[in-house]
Amino acid sequence: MNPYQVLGISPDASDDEVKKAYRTLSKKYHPDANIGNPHQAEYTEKFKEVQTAYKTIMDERKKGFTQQTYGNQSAYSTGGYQYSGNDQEAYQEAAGFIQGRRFQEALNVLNQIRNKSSMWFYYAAIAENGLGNNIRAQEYAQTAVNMEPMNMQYILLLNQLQGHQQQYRQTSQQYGNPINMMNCCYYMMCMNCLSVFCCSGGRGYYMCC
Amino acid sequence: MFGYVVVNKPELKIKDYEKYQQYYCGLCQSLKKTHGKKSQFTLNNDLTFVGILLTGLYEPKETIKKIRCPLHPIHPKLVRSNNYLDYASDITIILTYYKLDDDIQDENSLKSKVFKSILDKEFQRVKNKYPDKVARILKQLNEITHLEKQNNDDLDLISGCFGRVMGEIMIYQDDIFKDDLYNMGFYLGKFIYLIDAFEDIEEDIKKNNYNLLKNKFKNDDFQDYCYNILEMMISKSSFYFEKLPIIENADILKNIIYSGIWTKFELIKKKRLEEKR
Repeated sequence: MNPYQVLGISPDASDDEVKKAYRTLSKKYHPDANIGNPHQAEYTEKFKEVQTAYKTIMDERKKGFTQQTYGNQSAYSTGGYQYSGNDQEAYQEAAGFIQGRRFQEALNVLNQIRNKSSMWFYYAAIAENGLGNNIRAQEYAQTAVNMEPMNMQYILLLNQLQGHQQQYRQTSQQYGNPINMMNCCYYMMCMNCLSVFCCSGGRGYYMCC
Repeated sequence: MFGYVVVNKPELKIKDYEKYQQYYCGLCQSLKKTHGKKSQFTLNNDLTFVGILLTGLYEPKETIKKIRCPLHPIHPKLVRSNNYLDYASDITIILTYYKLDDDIQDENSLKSKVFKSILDKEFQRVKNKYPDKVARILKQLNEITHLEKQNNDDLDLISGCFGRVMGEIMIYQDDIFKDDLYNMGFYLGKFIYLIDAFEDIEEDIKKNNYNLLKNKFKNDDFQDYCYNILEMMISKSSFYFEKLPIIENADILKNIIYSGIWTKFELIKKKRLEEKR
């Protein structure tokens, strides 16, 4: 069933409306609120449906970047991959692991490659980000862009990795962030190289400098 | 490690500030009720935040009552209590105990030894109450101690350990929100570890203590660099926060995440500027 129908809202509902719909319905169907209710079993089923619908909508709306899930962070696998000296093959292997969200294994493959090309930094950035190493991820993505400034894929990755910060700055203005935009010049340095390609990347931060 | 996750008071509505106070005092009362009067010194803003967050997410039945407190003898205080604040008080014991242990190892401080011995019994009790959770938390905390001894300065690696501690703390129960809670806590934990290092850097250099930012400190752009990585962390944390269906307490929580969290950073910046003059 369509998750929006479960919550009784339209697909254009705002995030807040989705949250409110979830609250209303989850209160109504919550197992604790229906002890002794003849429909209890049915309501409990409904409660689970509401939870799943909410999660589906939010995951879809806020995709973020691939991230490991709880309980899966330190899956240090020795992995079966044997580097044969063919870099192209190793990159394909790493990409496969990234696709399957097996970031540590992706890094294990990448670490066997000696010659670190821009491609290496690109894949390593995604894998590190997935492992929660977001400082290193941005550094690597930046390195990939520096090595090959015209590569759209690298630029998009860097932009994506920095996306949360842009969103955060916008929202924090409503809450009187004491820092304001004072540090934007530093930020500009990172964004500068992107501005040539994606004007939206800077999103008005130029104004204050 | 404590005192960074605070509200930005001037930007908070009065009713929200009062509510925040009721939670803060509520955590204090919960410490007293479950761990005894002697444990109340462990009260802190950071775990108050965790209590308010979980309360906002699960909307439990709360009781509000008036109490008289020796610290505020004239005006009676309203305090809130619910099982999430009780949970936060249990976690407070664990983290404070570790912090005191850390201080003893760093400075061999007598004061810390005394406080730690006060908490001994309560620490064991909480450990027995959530054996698996506490074991996972302690594993990460011990890993930090180990990496610090090795003088490791890999920012992601070490702050990530404290990230996993906070991630673990944020998960109250096994449900569909646990991944988002974990990730929110993970990046908040990284933020806390890093800003703690940012605050202590000069003193750590002076005393020849470990600090993972030592190598960065000589750079001209040290402060901007730190700001950028801190923002990297809190922005990711806020991303996962926004996925949670929180309406109740949302204004307080957003005030903290989007603004209050920088209060300490600003203070440190100001202090450094004045010292330079």
